[in-house]
Amino acid sequence: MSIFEYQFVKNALLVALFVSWASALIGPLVVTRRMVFLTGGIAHAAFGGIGLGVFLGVDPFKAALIFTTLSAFATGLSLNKLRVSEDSAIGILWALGMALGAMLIALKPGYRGDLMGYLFGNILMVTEGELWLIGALVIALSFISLGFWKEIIAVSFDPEFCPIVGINPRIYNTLFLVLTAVSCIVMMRAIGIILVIALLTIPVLVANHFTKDLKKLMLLSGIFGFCFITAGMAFSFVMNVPSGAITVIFAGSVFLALHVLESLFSPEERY
Amino acid sequence: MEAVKLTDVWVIIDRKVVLEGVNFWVEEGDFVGIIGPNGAGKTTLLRVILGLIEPARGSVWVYGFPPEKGRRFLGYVPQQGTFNKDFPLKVFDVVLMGRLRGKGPFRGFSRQDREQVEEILRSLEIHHLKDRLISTLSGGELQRVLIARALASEAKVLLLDEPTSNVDIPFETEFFELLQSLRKEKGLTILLVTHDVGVLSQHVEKIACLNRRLYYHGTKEIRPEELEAVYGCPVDLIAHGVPHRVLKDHT
Repeated sequence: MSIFEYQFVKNALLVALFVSWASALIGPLVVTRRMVFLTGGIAHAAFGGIGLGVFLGVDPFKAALIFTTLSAFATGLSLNKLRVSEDSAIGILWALGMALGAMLIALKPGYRGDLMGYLFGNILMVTEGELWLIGALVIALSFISLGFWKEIIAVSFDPEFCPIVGINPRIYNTLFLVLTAVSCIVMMRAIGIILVIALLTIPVLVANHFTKDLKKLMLLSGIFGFCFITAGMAFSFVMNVPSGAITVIFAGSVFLALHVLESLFSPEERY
Repeated sequence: MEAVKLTDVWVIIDRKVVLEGVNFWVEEGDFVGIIGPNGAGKTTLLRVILGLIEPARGSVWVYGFPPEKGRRFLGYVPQQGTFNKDFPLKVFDVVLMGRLRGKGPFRGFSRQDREQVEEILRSLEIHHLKDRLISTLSGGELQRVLIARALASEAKVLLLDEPTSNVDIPFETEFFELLQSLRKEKGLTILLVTHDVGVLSQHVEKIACLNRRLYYHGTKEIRPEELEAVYGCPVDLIAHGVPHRVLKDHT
């Protein structure tokens, strides 16, 4: 009996497809806009949503989706208005989300759910219901990104110029943060809150070795993302280790290996 | 007709007065340069005209409209470094951004938009660069791309922020000739700000001095005491081997 006949393997492969799709859509912009840590902050805020879900006795996944989207929305609107620097704001968002989650879960004694699964991900444990919700989110993400793509690109490249052609940078920067938040939630079950930024960055950096064009970068980083996740699944299955962690370790190794190879073969580019 | 008009404009940022009672005007068809040291408020002045900063006092008009409405007549060429130069975009896509006005979500660029961009690229002699990534361009090439983007929005007035700071000196003259020809052929009005006194005096037709306060007579004349007030010390106008060019012309 081949392993593809197991339902959980089929589910996990579908999740891998959805997750790499979301990371291809959002990752290249997160990297080029240098907002990896802002994304990390948003992802960690999701833990507050998990805690809220546990505390209120509702599905933590859905609670995290709503909580994180609202956090991203609030962050986007207030980022330029706060009298603190962006990295301080990220630090606060990051720690506050985690603290809120930890406290709310502690207030609900006897919770036996899969907390480690949310923090570090476990693609082999994704339920049918979660799978379809993830799929629906990826389709919504694609639809909205496509519709507002030229505006998102414009505010990412040169927000100063945008008002002159009638585009409000604050609105579209906030929209992009919300889309980023949704993609973090899409990835949460597969890779975990703590490791989300790895999947948004490493495939992009690897793809960056082969192309500098945005469209090709998106396509290639999606392919690399899918390969990393499926390889991680296989390692996890065979070696009986956590899938999220092994995925990130594998992806990071590929990135490092490529870097070393490149510096060996083009020494003139070293500086 | 006055393309741009500022009356007693004060700008205060973080409790600091950045612009102080600025009165300034640009006639249609003018070629005006504003000089001033770093931190004089030059970029702020452009941002006020573009409606990106609201003055604490005073009024700003662009073709008789407040800036939010009037900026559709303006083309902005920002200082290099204010945008992400490493962004993985091609020249053509950057210039196309000048055509974003009124597009709305879920609507792509039309064939007309693309043809217009092709034509502008040709007229600026950068058509051969259209598929190049902007990260691979030289300072001078990138400058032309930014001008192309400004022209793509059908601007009547070009606002340029330190346009020569990333251009090699031999290309400076070429760059100003380009601006002159745009002005003649397309009837553009040009306003640029720079800290480089030398370049400016040879190429523009009217000069203003700015250091929080603005000195302007609607001519190329700058009085030595005004220049001194602006730069905080007596300024020797020997620049680029053209001794006393500014003063000699008018005193």
